[in-house]
Amino acid sequence: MTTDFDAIVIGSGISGGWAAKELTEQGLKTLVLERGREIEHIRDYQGEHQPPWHYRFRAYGDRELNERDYFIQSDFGWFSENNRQFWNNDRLNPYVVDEARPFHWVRGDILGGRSLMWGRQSYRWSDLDFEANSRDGHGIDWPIRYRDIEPWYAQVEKFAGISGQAEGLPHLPDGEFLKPMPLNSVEQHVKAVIEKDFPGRRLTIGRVAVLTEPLNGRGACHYCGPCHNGCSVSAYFSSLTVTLPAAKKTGNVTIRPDSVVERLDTDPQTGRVTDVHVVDTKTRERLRFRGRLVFLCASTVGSTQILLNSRSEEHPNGLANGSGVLGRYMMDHTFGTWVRGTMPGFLDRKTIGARPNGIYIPRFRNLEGQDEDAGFVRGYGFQGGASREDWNREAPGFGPAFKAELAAPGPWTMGLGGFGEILPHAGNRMLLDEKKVDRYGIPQVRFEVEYKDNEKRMIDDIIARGTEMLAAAGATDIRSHPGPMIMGRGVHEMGTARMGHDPAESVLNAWNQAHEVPNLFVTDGSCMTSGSCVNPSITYMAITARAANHAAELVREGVL
Amino acid sequence: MLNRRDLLRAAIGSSAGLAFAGLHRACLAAVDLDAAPANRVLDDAEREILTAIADLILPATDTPGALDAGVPQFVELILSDWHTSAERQPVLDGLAALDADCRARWGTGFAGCTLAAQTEALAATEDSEMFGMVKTLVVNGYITSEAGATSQAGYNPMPGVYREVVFDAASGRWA
Repeated sequence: MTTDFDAIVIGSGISGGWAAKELTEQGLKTLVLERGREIEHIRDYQGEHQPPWHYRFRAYGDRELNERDYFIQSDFGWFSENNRQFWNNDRLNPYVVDEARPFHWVRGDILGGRSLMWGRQSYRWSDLDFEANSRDGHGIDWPIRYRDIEPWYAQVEKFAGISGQAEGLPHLPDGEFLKPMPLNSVEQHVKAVIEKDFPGRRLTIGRVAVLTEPLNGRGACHYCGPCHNGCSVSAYFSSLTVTLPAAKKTGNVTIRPDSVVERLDTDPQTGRVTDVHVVDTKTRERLRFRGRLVFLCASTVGSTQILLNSRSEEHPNGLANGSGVLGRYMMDHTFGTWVRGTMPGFLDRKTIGARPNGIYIPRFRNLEGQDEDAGFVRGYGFQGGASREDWNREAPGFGPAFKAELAAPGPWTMGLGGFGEILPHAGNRMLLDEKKVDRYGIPQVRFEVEYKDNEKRMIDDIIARGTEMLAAAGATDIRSHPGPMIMGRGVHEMGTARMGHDPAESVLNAWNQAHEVPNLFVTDGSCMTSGSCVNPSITYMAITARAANHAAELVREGVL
Repeated sequence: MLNRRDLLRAAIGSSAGLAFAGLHRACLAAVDLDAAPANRVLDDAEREILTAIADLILPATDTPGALDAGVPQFVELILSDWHTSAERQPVLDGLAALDADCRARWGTGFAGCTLAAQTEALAATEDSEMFGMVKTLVVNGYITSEAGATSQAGYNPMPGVYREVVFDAASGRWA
């Protein structure tokens, strides 16, 4: 196998897949390195369409195995017997936290990474987000604006396939949408009440990377429900089924799974990355690969770990870390705060099919400057939906009447879950542990992260505003919960190698290029200068495609 | 009733998924789904009481009951191999108390009582931790069993669509 490439992409998830597609389509011979094992579309979806009775412990899961090997991953919402083969083994891949500040590192360990199990919600950012830091002074200014990324959103949306409804909102720009999934009657009722009683608030169907009509040989959704078990018709976007096949089609890509990247070497003369050091996880062989370009797309934590571990005489604090901000300003989205209630009526209606999507209530707080009654900056959105209760509900007694009650469709319930913007705090950081190493001898990551006051006040407001909307819509028995307030639970960790104008306070420039290392680009969540409150993956896709095309241009011009 | 392969074919009209549907089942079947629990925590008497309780909670009606769906075996598996001994203790204590109550009132253990006596004795435990745990296990075991799940009116693992249907009182059907 050749070890010299035009470009090396580290990571094959949402970002790495796009980097591979764009770089290879620009004619660059590209190596994709993935720490996880190889999986194959369809063949490795062992849990797809499997009913619970095909598993010994059914929905309870194999507790002994999960507590031993998946004690972080199995706490995540849709980890199950049907998809355990996609997830990281927590026992074999330890990291360090202190008890008071836990971090849940949710990871894939397969080709395609978390793009196999992601939530698929896809919302464009706007200048409300790109200007947020400069407006209220938390964090540094983004070096880009919406106009810089807008055409790339359009390009990636058209290829990924995003279904949704155009709403004409300036702070949640419309995209290139396939036809939207439908709202059910209760959701339409809640929408009507919210939009009438609360001026400025809107309810729309989720914008989701699931096909509602065939696209490029991929099939439309068949509404079986759990996308994250794998989808044989490729109705949802994943690297494995969309971007990596596109890269393969060019004939320019080499994909190497089972390849943990340990560190990057730079040439002191040119300042460029020369060697990518790899541990083959099967043979434990140590290998080196060289590329004119290196795209670091190993996930926020993974990429930052590699840069921190690429310490050298010239880069004593880690590669591209002259500013000292590498590893700091970690963000996530507040996650797990919910409000739900019973919706009376509509008992002559029920739904068929498992819609892999819900409703979205876009941010309505602090849109035009600071709301007078908001004790926090930035904002949040709601995801949720309405459905009829089933066998999971409580019912008194036992016997034939009890059985008949559960077998009939139950009352409608409507739930709203808040996703709030977390500010970039310098103290929320990841670093390398000074003593502990993993099974390859690579220093373990240590996390020092927590929700701070702005996030906690925002969560109070999520509950108050969610409750008032459900109450206005006639909900009864309204309940709420603030959630676990644990960083990482949103699985939107970002910000540890942020973009910025000034090399003294940022790692990357406006093109995701390291200020200090011209042939190094970092385009996963670590590049994010602020967090917005919308799901970030479509932005990683767009920002990666933009950076990859720019880098290819620099190669063509002979600059790199 | 269509089988799973037919449903898949009807829904996606593609052979891609079908070629592997059988393979998936074969891979999973490496585990003996019906093997007895590795830990034996119930004696024959306790097993008999649990079986009777499962039958009382979800009897066979116009749809299969807990016994048809193998629920007692599933409940025993979870109690034995999934729960810790501390977690299962309230169930074991509750079964013993229920049995003792029956002996005191009717001179025979729960399993030997008439249906009316069993119903009365079980109803008296409704606020107990034992009853709450067993009821949850029975319901979950039933609705995740093949007999339980596939006998439900709305069972449709491969719907091919998300849409709302309205109940028509005249015909008694959802349309």
